[in-house]
Amino acid sequence: MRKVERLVNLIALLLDTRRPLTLDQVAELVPGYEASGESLRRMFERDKEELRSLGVPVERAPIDAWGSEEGYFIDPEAYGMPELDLAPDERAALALAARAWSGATRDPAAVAGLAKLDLDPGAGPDALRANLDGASPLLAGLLEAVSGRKRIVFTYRPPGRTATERRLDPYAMVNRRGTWYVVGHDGDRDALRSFRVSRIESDIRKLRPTSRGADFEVPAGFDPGKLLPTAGEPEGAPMALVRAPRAASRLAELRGAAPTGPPRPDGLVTLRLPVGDRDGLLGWALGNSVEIVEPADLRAEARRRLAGLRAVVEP
Amino acid sequence: MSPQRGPDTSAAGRLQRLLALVPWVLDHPGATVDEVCERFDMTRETLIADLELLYVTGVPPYGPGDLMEAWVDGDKVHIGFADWFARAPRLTWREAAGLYLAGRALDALPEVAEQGALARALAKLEAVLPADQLDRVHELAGKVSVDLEGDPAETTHRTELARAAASGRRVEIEYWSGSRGELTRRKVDPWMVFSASGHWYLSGWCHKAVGERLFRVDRVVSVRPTDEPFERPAGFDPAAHGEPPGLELFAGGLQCELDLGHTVEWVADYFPILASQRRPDGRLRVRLATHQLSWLVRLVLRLAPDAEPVSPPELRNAVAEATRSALAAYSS
Repeated sequence: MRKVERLVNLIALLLDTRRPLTLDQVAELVPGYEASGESLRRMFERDKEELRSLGVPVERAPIDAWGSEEGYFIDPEAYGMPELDLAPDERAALALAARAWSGATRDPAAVAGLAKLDLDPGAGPDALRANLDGASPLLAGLLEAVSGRKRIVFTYRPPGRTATERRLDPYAMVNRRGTWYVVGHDGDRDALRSFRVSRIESDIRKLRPTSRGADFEVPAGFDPGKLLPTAGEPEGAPMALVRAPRAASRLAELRGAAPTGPPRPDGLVTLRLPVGDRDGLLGWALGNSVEIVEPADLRAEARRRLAGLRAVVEP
Repeated sequence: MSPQRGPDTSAAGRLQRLLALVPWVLDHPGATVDEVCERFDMTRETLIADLELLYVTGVPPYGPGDLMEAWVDGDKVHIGFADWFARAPRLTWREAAGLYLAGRALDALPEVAEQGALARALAKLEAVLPADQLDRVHELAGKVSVDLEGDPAETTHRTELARAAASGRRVEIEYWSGSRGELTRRKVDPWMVFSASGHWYLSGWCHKAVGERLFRVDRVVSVRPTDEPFERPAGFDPAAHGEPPGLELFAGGLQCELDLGHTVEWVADYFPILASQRRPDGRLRVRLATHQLSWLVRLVLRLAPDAEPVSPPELRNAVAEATRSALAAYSS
């Protein structure tokens, strides 16, 4: 008897029964529970856990008024997904959210999730689509640990370095520019660190898999929204002066760069803009034929990098 | 690297599908094999196997009348005697959390929020979640920060483009072509706005190029809505137009080699490279193909001096020339 058949029969029986059934009764009635004693109990516990993880609530209650023995049942009210009673535009909007979460996955569980709410995977406002790639098993493990405050271990490879095992109290998850990060207290470095999920090379393992309850507390006032740089520069940030071709300048102007005057006869525009991330500004300038005028140290760095490249290509 | 899915996961996936499939078929009497297969993203063979499994399951004593009816009748899927499974199981906390987190992130976009439908749908969802699940979802939402917005300039343009796409109106955009570093003005039929690999894109018909094009929204310099209506191509399939671009830039064309220093090895993760090999000096040699040498020249300058153009000679010469001309500005 295959496992899926056993589980379907088990759910039907526990939904159908009017009173709690003991483990022995279940084993007698459902084909596939050929084990006995402790191994039967373990087999049933695993099945029960699996059903719970799928959203099927197996409940336990005394089988008689004396409470001498406990039995199992599924309350049909607790089992069934209630009608959401969605208007067509609400249904389409929720389908958009579901699709954004699961991304392009063909995972049967994600498809089943849509069907539970009768959300048509193909419907929705197709004028807009987002992808959060939320259905990956790695992300599921991290969200589970963040939610349960479980200390975790994983193998992490920073760019250009060797992979090492890291221990983390995961406080929060952050998604910026389509990239997921897990942020928390790094036990080995005793500091707050963020890790790019795509650079995690192992499963997420709980350090204390069997312990119940949380492994740590998140510090009061911790705000995941403030962890990583978002768009916009703080007031009073250091400013740079650059000379940029017209096209590059138009794009920079949209992001807070201010022209100091009309374009020069040669078409270059002089702009003032916040330095922000130094390497980001340097890379942008070098890749777009933008000359850095000020500050002097950034100008010197740009010249140094260009001279370095010339030495490489014109030996 | 994601871990391999074990057989248990697929059994769980199949069970989840079965528990959702039965009530769906009961709710949609007369659904055809094709309709069910499309909705559950399955093949006909898988559906038949699922029906055969249901046909031998039910409640004790598993006689006639205790087992479910499940078969294909003509071309219609028939399921009966399945009252236990008349409703789908509740969402797992993970499903509820994913839906809620994605919904909140999307509802932070002005073009979604102004419709109001998503906020209403999320409120209805919250109203039916069991109290303990709702608490857990709310608590997690306080620990997960998803920002789909992009910078303010991008948000403004994306909002206008999404509105135009939803109302079927042509737009005129000024667009900065990243590969050539030029600014162009063009009329576009905005088919769809989508996010992929950390960027927002517009896919649509470009009247200047006379063809389907993808535009990165953060390179749109201005958007002017027009009153001219447009139609999407017949049978427009969003999934077929929502792929991140770049492949046409990297498919075929001139093969080039770069030697990357440690600090710029991210290039190998970021672009679809054809091959990579560690050099004796520790640098990473990558090979990639491009139809536009100018794009690669700009990349090498941006990475200066840590990426060395190795081959072909045209690339090396073009980089040398661009470097000379950039250095001229710094000579004073």
